[in-house]
Amino acid sequence: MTCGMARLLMIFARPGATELDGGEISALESHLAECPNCREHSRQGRRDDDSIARAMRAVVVPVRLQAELASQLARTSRFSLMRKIAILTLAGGVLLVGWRLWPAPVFDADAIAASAYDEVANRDGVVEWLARQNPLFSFPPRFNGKFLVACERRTIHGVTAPVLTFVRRDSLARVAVVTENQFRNLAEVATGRAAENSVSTIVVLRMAESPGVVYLVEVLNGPIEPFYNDEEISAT
Amino acid sequence: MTWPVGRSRVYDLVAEHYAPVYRFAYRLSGKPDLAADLTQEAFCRAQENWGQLRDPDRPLPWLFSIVRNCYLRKCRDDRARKTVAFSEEFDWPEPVADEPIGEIDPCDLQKALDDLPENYRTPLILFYFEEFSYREIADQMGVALGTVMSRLARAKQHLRKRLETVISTGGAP
Repeated sequence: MTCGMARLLMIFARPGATELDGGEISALESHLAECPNCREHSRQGRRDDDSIARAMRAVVVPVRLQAELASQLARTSRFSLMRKIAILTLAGGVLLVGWRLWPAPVFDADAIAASAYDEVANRDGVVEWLARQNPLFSFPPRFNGKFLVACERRTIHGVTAPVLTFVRRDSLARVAVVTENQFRNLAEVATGRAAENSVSTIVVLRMAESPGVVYLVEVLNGPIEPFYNDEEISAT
Repeated sequence: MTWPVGRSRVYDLVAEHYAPVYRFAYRLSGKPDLAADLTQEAFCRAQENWGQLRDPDRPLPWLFSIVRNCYLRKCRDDRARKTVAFSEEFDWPEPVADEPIGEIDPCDLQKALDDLPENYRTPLILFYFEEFSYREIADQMGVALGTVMSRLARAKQHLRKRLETVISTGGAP
């Protein structure tokens, strides 16, 4: 190792330093053992560094500093906690006021019914939907489309069929569109449904134009007539 | 939102480290009152931001960095402070002069430190004060290792020159 390299490594060689690896430290120590100039240079550097370090640390710390710090930290901690509590309280208050002032949702059955009607009131769409179930199916005769609120497939006595639901005031009419041959005895089915569901009226409608198609009508809480318009049908 | 850390942990931190933190703040600022303020502010910030302490077994570098940040913030209003000018160009120094500088008066040392710009003073204090490694000083200051080496070398040269003058003139630089 040259003296130049040794003096460069001396910059990094000091107690507690981690910049030099074991090989570099031992090489530097070997050089210092052999070279009196560098050894003296290193000793003097250490002495100067120690001298500066001693002077650097020679600072008189105020006697009451620790107590003052503890007192200040306690105040800050209390203030910080109070500030956070105040913020949370304020946020809670704002939420409470907002909750009280926010208009409460109003349940409007008529609006909901009207909305439902709007969604399914497309009579052509319902006719198409029925035709997709069976080309013979058509909209229930004489029933006024404006009272229609829902179309769905439901299971009746083990048979899945399209069912239209009509609502007028407090009355509800459910019309299942089926074929004659889907049930062994349609009259028995009608009687059974009347007994099971406590319906006010149960009617089986047939149309001359659609032979084999049957409309099984159940009316809850009222007669069937309010749901009609003036189309011709034959009722049995 | 960070909740304040438990009181006993903060008081333990104060009891164990308030003296080195004050000494660092004093050497950095050169003023006892400002050093006390910086120490107080540093511990308050440590209490508020306890979660940012990465190594609970070695909190001093973290506390020093808080002190330095507080000091730099205060210094923004004091830009007229006169310090010696240094180039950031790197040159390998000759760390030791021919004559030893002998015992140093801590007040003379402080005067020499006060002449240095903060970015030269801080590495010097960290180097001598708590024997931080060059890497730790670089991490602390957010600069490259080479920059730390260069600044330390220049700061040491300045310190040596000032202290030699003080010693040779019997305390009147």
